[in-house]
Amino acid sequence: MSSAFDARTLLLILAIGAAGCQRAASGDQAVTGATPPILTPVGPVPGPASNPTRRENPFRANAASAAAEGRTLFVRYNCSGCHGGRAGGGMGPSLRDPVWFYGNSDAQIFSSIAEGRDQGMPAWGTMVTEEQTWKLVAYLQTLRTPDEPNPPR
Amino acid sequence: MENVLLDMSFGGRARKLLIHPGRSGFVFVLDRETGELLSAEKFEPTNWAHSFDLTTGKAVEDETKRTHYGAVVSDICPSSTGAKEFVPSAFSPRTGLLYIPAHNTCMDYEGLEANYIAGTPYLGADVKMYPGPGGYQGELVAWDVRNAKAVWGIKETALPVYSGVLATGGDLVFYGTMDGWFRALDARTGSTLWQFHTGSGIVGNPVTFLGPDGKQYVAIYSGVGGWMGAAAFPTISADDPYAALGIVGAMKDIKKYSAPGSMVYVFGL
Repeated sequence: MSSAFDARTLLLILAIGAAGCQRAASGDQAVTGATPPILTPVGPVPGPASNPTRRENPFRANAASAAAEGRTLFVRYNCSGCHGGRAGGGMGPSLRDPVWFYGNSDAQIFSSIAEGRDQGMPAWGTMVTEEQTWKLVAYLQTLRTPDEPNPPR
Repeated sequence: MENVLLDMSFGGRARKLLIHPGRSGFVFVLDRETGELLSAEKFEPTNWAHSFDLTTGKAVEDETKRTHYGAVVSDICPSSTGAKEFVPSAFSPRTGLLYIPAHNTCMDYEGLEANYIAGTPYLGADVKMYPGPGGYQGELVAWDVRNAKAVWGIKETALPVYSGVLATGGDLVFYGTMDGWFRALDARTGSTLWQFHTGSGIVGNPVTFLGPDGKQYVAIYSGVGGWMGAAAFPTISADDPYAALGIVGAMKDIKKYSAPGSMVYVFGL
C-alpha cells in the first residue's frame, strides 16, 4: 500500500541505528528531527505583497497513490481519533461533508493541518512532514468521491 | 458504572449484596462481604460470553468474538458502548426491581496499531456499530433482583435509553429517552402514567426534591450528548458509520429525532 513510505521509514530507522541512538523508532512518529519539516511557509507572513504563494499539491499528478498513503497517515497520526474512522467527525468536525470552515483549496487544507485551527486542532507543522501533509490533503480531497481509499462500507 | 448496595435475601439467606448492571451485558450479584459471585445473567442481547463461572468469576467466552489485530470480527454484542452506559439505574425496595437504562447495539471491530501522540485521542481499532437483534436499540429494563431476570421492559425502536432513572416511594419510575420524552411509569407494571416532550434528547438524570414552598418537584436536564448522542450534532456526517469512534453506524438517524439543546425542566407534582 505504501512501499515508498515504508522504505523511507526503514532508512530512517537504519540511520538512527547507525548513529547509535537507542530510542525506538515507531512508524511515522520517527519522522521528527532538528530540521523543521515544513518548507512551505505557514501562517500569515509579515510584509506586503511579496508574501510567497502556497503551491498546489505536488502530488496532483499521482493523486491516487498519494491519497492511499494519506489514508494510512490519517489513521497513524490519530486524525481518525477526532475526525472519525472515515473522516465523518467525532470530537472534531466531519471532513467529508460540504462544510469547510477554513476553505478546501490545497493550500487552505495544508494550512489547517500545519498551523492548527480553533477549538482543538493541533498545529501539526512540527511533526508531520510537508510531503506527508500534502498526502493527507490528497486523501481528504477524495472523500465521497469514487477515488476514496477504504471508503465506508 | 454504579454498584447498588442492597441488604436482602438472595438464594435463600439474608445477604449484604452488591448489584452491578454492567456494560458487559450482565447483571452481576455479589456478596459484598465475601466478594463471592452469586449470579451473572444477561439483561440485553450479549454474545461475547455465554455465561460466567460463578466459582472462578471468569467469563465463559465465545472465542469467535475475540478481537484481533488486523482482522475484522463481526457481530460482537454488545458494542464497546456497552449494554449500559454510565447513567445510573435505580432500585425500588418497594417492588424489588432494579430499573436499568439499557442499550442493544452490536459492532464490527478490527484491531489496529495504537499510536500514542501527546494531545490526541486514539482508539487502536476500526469500529462500526449498528442496532442489535430484535428490532430495538434501547430499553428500560425492570430487573427482578431476587430471581435474576427481567420482568418487563419498555423498548425504544431507534435509540438507546441513555438517561438515569429515578424510583420514588410513591411507586413511580422517572426516566427520559433520547428523542426527548420524559416519562413517569407505574413502578410495578411499567405502564406510562405521564409523559412530557422536552426540547432535546435526555441523557441527564432525574432528581426529585422538596422546594422551599414544601412542595415536591422533579427536575430533568434535556440536551442530547454523550458518546452516542454525538451523532446529533451538525459536524458529524451520517454517511460514515465509523465516525465518532464507531457510534454513527448505530445512531445515524438521531438527527430526525432530536435537535441539540440545553435546558433544565422542573415539574411540580
